[in-house]
Amino acid sequence: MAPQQAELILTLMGMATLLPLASAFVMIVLTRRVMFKAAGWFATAVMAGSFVCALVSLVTWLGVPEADRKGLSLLKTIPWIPIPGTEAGHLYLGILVDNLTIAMMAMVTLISLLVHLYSIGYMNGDKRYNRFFAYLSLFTFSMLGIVISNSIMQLFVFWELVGLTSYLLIGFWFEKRGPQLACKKAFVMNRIGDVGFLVGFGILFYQLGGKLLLPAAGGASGMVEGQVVTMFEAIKALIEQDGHSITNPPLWLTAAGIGLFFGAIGKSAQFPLHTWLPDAMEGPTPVSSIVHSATMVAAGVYLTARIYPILTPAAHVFVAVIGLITLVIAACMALVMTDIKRVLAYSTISQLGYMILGLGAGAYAFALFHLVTHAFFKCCLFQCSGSVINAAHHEQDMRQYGGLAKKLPITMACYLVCTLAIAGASIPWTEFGISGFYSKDGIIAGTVSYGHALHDTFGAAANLFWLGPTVVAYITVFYMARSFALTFLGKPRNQKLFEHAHEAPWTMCVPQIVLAAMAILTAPFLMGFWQSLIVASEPQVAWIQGADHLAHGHAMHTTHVYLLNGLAWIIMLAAGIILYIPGMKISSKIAAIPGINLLYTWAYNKFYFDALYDTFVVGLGKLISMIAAVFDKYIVDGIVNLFGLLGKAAAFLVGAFDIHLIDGSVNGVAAAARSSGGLLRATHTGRVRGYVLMFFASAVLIVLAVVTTAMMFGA
Amino acid sequence: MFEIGIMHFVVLSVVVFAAGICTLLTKRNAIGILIGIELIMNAAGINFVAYNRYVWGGGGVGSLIDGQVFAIFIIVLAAAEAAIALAIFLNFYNTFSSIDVERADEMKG
Amino acid sequence: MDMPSLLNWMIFVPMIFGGLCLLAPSGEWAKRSALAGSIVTLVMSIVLLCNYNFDQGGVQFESSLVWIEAINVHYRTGLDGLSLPLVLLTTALSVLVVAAGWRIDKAAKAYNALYMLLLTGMLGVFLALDMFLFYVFFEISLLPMYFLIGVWGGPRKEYAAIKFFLYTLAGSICLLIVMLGLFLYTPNIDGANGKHLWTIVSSSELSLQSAEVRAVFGNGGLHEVFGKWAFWLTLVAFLIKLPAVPFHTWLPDAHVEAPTPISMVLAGVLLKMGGYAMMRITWPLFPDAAATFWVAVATIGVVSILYGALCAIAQTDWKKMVAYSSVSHMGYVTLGLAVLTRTGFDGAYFQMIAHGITSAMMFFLVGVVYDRAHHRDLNRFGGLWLTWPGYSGWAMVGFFAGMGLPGLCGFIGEIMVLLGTFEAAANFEHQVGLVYTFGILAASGVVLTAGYILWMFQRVYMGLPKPEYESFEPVRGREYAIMAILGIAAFVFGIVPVLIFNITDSTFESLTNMLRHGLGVLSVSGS
Repeated sequence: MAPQQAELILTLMGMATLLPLASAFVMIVLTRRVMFKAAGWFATAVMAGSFVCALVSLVTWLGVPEADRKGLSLLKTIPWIPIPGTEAGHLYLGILVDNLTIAMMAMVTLISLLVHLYSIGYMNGDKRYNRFFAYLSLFTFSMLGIVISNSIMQLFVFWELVGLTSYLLIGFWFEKRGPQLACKKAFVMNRIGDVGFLVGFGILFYQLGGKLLLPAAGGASGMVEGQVVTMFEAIKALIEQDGHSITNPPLWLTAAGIGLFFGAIGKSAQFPLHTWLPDAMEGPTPVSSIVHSATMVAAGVYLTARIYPILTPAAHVFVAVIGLITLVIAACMALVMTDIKRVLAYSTISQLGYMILGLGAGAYAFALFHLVTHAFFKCCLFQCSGSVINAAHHEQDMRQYGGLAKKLPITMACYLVCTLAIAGASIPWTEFGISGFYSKDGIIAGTVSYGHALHDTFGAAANLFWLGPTVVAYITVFYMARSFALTFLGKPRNQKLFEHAHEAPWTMCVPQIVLAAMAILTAPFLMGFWQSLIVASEPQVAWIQGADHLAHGHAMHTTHVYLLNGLAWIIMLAAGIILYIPGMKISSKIAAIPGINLLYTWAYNKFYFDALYDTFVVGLGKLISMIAAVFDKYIVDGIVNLFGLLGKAAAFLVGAFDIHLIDGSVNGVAAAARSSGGLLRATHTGRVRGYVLMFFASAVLIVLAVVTTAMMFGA
Repeated sequence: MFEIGIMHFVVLSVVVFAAGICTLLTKRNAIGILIGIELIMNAAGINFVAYNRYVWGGGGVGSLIDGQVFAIFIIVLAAAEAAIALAIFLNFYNTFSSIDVERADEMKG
Repeated sequence: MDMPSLLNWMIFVPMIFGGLCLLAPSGEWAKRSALAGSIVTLVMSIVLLCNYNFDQGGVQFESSLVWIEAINVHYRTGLDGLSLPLVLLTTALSVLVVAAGWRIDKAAKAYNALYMLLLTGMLGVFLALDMFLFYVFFEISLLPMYFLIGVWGGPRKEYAAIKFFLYTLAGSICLLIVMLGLFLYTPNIDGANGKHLWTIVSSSELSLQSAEVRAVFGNGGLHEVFGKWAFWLTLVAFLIKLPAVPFHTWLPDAHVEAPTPISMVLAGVLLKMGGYAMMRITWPLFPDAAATFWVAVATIGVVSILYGALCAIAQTDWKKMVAYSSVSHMGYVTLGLAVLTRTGFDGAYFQMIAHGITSAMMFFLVGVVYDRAHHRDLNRFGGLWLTWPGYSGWAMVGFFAGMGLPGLCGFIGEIMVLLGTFEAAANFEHQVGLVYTFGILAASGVVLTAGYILWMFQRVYMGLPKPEYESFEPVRGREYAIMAILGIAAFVFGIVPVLIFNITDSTFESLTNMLRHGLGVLSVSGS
């Protein structure tokens, strides 16, 4: 690639990232007085600029032959924190551009643009309208910051900022209690994941001497300034030096990989930190559509993809197991939810589980492809749900809906398209379908290979790796059909709500239509385009490709998967629609069947995760903090005060000693003088004659005494 | 022949002194006490004069007269003292409407 | 005026203005005088910054006068990378503190005069290069604080003031014992040149002197046992000031009772004296002991982080919560020093500067509300975001900076201390598990921090506005200015941390070189 092109791409990437920040800054500084009504269009316009930047760089990038692009990284480094004690010397911020960055950038800016547009309609009339767009732009900036991250450090920085903006957006309607609790929960649970991230970060920092730049080795070229050693090169050198290899990795590498992956668990709402995402639906729906479906929660997947080369076989198993558990339990919960947004939320968790499982199983390209396809159809689904909620005067319970297809035809069409997309609709047993078909089935194919590869280690249990996602693929179609039928089909169950319902304004419809179109187009029509980016982004780290089990991950669709999933979407879609056209009548009977009712109750109560966490984590945490505070107040401070008291007591004793003994003896002399004076006082009668007598008698006595003495001794 | 010697003067002095003491001890009247004091002082004066004669001999020119000088001092002293004492008594009388010294016991211990 | 005398003037100019405060015709003039004094001091410190040579590791603008010849005490002052950022923090914060105290009308003359005296004490501590002089300033800074809390404080002010005073004094006594020991055990260190061990506070000779000092107090030295005792005694003296668990209980009381501006300066500057003194005295003098006892010191740090945060969660008094957050944040300083890595040292130092900004801001934010609501009960607030949107915006900056959010100054210190802790695995090869345990525990502090900040934020700012707070008088321009200055500083140092590291770099280079000697001892004894 020519240096000018590289320079152009890096500049455009930087601009695309910083533009939303600038617009957020302008909106916050100008406040509501200057910029209230205009905020929506202003932010959207700036976002459009950002999208154009991404598009131009995409076109420029695609202008390079694929063979040259493969493994090419453009790197811009800006020294941020000096760390003179280490080999690296600095922690860097900057820009990393490779195939993955380009793909993610295009996807995120497009979705963000559409959500901005959608919000103009959805948030119309809100009293903090301008503030909403400021937060939304700030969020986009943070997310793009993750996308262009060139080091673990930068990833963490924007990781946290995404957490903050998500907090602000979930808690946007902070007057109500629900959003207050939800935003706090989201942030704290994300931070629990961040502890793992920090630990992984710390381990790598120590082991690699601060060399944490992300470009995958083998292709880092272009704008690398100076002699920069990337993280992967450093790891390779280190483990080879110690006589390790990827099949025999050092423990710290596994620990670091799992540690960093914990960050992804928090952000991508994976088991066991998944409970914040459904609660996050308390935020405005545009927020759910971008932050909690398309982008932020995908950041965890993105992180896992970025650290993919350093995940050791053990770490891969860990990642896969987490993904597997998540996708299964979330799908079960999505089956029973009645809040339309919560169904979509659990569906999101489940789909994220697919991606994580895919990465764990080595189906790197399909996992990331699923990230892109999912972003489009899930964003669209959320926007449709937003339109429905908007039409239904903020009623979110699907039991109150029904028959809305007549009132909201565009929304219904979009919802249906996206339902088909998530269902992986295809012409049975052929290779032709719409987006979800390619990505999800690709992941399942990868898990089949992975299950086979792990058969020796885990025995029959290894089959769960492909059985789980296959079954869940069926469940997915079913719950999506359920939500579609409950909302749009059948008879209106709440007449008043039905009558007031109306189609959304064009600012909301246009994004829906565009996203639905993307959901169809992404695959198969644009598939080549995406694949040229994503497949090419697969890390080209020499030492990792030697690993046996991952070689299977590249398997494409297999007949095996076609047989399993070919008819799935038709059967389950039909089943779902038929079952739920009359509302919940049939299903509530099914749910009452003994045995099933137990499962139903479990799923309905979210497997009691929330109750468990409230009791054991939050409750225990509060209890411990109370104990700490009491301990502090009465024991630690008590000891301090005890010292104070002891000092006082000692002082009192000394004081008593002083008063009674030392001062006492001084006073004693005076008292003795006084009392002896008292004795003699009696002689002072005041009678002159008495004095005279005494005087005379004394004189006589003295004379006698003198004379007697003189006579006795003197003679 | 009966010759007056030192012993007579001493006896006289003792008698006068004793009379003075007795007066002091018995009298409650301030004037009486003053008289008693005069007597005691005069007794002392007699002694001075008598012992001067006895020690230094008869009164020719050049003989020492210390005793007599002392006696004169005593007389002067007694006069001054009488003046002061009478002044005190006057005030005493003004205060107590009496010169009974028994009543002057306000400063007793 | 040449720089050394400018530096000395800077120490005493506040005192002169303090005198003017007393002579002022009215309280208003006293305030103006104090403001003028702190602005003059700020300008002087900026002039010093402009003339400071960043590449030179040693002490600059040094001046030395014989003070008490018999015991070789000098009046010796100077500036290096360790003191310059803290001096700037002190002088800059001082202007804001005086401005924050503008509405204190009770005996305004005495208040401002005492504050000016305090400023002299603080600057003296950071600029003194003789241990005796250091001790004198250390004590000078105590006294005005005692009165400022004890007279202008809240309901339990007497208790808080006396507790603060006695507690810190107990620490001073530890320091005094060490000073006596140093005097007795090192009569011959470079005595011919008129130098004395007490001048060791100068870091210019750190590496030079450390060899001599270690010969006496280091492992295998003549007075090794005393060296170890002295390490702990000085440590306790400064941990009290920092404060670290379990020597921290004076802090919540002092903060709760102190008036807002005094809380700002207490958290913003006075706590930093502890950390500064550790870096200036304890570690350079006793590197061997620091390496020997690193586990104990790091434990104190980690316990402070977690325990402080836990206590903060449980508080219902807003100011007490912020006070405990200080304990938690200062734990990172202790930890960063304990692990003996350059990254940890840099992080600990940055954490002090950052905390100087964020804690002052947090206390001010609390104070603004307290001035109007007259209570600090977290459970009785609510909806302030709607009542005061502008104020709440800055509050978000302040508290999230305290939470260590990237882009704000709190982040840099925390992350560097954490990374430095992990890096310490290289220092203590036989205790790698222990190092990682410290790292993991310290990292988990971020969850607790998020817990108490966010819970507070929810209870105070979110929710519907309460009628009793709607009649609040609006936030004044002066208050906005203080919040904005602190908030912008939080952004600036969070985004451009090299502003600090450029100043400290060369000084810390020599400091860590010297600590490496201490570690050398450890590896010899360990092998």
